[in-house]
Amino acid sequence: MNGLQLAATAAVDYPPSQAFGDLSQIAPIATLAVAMIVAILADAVLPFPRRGPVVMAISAAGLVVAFAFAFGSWLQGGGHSAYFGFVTGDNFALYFEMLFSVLGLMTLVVSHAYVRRRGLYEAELHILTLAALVGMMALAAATSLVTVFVALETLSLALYVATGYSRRDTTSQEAAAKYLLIGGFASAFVLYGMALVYGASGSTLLPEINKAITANQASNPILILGVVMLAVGFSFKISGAPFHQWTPDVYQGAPLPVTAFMSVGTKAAAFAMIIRVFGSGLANVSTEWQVLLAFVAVLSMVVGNLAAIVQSSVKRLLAYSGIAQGGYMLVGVIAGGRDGVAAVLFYLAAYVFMNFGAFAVLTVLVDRRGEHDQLDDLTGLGYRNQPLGILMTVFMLSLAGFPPLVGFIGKFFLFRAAVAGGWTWLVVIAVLASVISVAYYLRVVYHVWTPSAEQAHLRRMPGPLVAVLASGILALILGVFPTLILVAGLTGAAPVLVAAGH
Amino acid sequence: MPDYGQFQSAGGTLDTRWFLLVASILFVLGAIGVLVRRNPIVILVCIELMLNAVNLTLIAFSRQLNNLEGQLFALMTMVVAASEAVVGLAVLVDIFHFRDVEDVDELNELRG
Repeated sequence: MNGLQLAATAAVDYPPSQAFGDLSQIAPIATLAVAMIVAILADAVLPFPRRGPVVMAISAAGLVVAFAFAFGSWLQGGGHSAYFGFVTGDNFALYFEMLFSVLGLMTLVVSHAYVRRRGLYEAELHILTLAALVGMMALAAATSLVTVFVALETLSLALYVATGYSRRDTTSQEAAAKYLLIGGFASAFVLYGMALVYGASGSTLLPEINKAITANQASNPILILGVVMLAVGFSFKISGAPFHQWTPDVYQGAPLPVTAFMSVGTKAAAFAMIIRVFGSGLANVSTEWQVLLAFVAVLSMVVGNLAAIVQSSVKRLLAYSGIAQGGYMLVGVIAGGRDGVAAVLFYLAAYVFMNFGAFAVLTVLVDRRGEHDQLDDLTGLGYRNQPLGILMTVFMLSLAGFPPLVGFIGKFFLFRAAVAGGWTWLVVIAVLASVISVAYYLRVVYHVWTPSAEQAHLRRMPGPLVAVLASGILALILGVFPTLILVAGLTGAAPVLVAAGH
Repeated sequence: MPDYGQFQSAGGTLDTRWFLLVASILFVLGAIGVLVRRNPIVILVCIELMLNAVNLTLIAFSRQLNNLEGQLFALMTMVVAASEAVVGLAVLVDIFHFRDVEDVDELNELRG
């Protein structure tokens, strides 16, 4: 009998001390949720010109406090599960909470500059970003299928709206509609998979599921169908091939800061979910989901890299590159174990900075007429603004996996873990695929450093420049001193493994 | 492995498997609807059908396993489904503001 049944049958005994202890485990998430509500109220009562800056200040304060809570708990060795085992504040969750706080701060400054230049409303975009961040953090902290699903939908619903934020653009609207219909379809698959896993195991709590499902249950058709449904739904969410078709359209149509934010945020949150649900909840049927994920990984790496070569829009190019990068990370998930999970955590942090930085560079090119995301628009960027050109080169080379940048180290950890786990054939495909990827990443670099007739200096945009610079410096530092994040990744991986070691 | 046998109800006994079967048929119908229907509103309705099929599955399992988590899950799903419908209709109405979209294939401005 688990906690929930006890609470339902006996009189509920929930003393204030336990309520406080539970709340402290989700302090970063709760902080952001409160900040979001305060921001909504501020947006409703303040006079128009002050709404944007005040909401941005509230959001930034919330993110800083959330980071502080997560970091404080991290320094104390991590938290434990709370609310009858439905969420947890363990190191795995804290790692992602810190990562998402940093991502949120970078998104704020880029969004701020973007809405100013495009003449859009500011406050709502920050509020939607906060809502999505609450969902992302909750997804990393969720240890029950119920909370996983609710968190997944929290982040998805906020992002559907954010995608259609630029309401005057028919492309933005179209992207929102596509994202919504396909995202809803995928959510239904995830949900059905969860229902079947619940039916087969008798619990929605991941540790209970892990205990209930033993290896000889692999023939239970309900369980297998559930695992397949979950794999399909998860693949939609990480835009893994063959469920990736929505990604380029949505990334291209969404406003740039939203694209930058969701391309890394959704991916990181979805990988946290996959590691939790598959790695710790369904660890005993790992052979089944490993095969499914290996299929998705191979297809993502091949399709993503080949399709990226022929793109003329940098947003679409980065969308296909993201599909391929998701494939590399799946290799680490499949490898599993301490090294595999830590490698995925490390690569996710690296990916957040590389990819966000690349999108932030594009933000600098935005003007009143719209976004300029064609490859030709980048021509001569290195001469118009040298630091920006250099940083864009760093991001592209890092995504391609050139040493000594962080992308190389990240791939090295991923592939080493996979070889150690006996997935050599998968690594061979991954390495070949990343060789193909060099072609299109270098194409961007080539455009950046091709002289062009356009010599006008770019208007200064402090916000994106700060984000670009921070991302670039992190990409360099982490490439040279990877242990900083790798140790954190290993610490973050530990709680998920304790559960899987059954 | 739990026993998927029969459970008692007021009028006699019923086999859980019938509920699961009905739910799976509803889910498949919804999924086919999403794939073949062209009107965005109808697609949204089909997604709701899929979610409700899952609710039926959850409640059948909950009753079968004598465990309340399934019912809790179903309640949460209803909330989520309602929010999804709200956001979905809002996004679509926003598009209909500018043009009539009777076929999702008309949403074809984004191409690479």
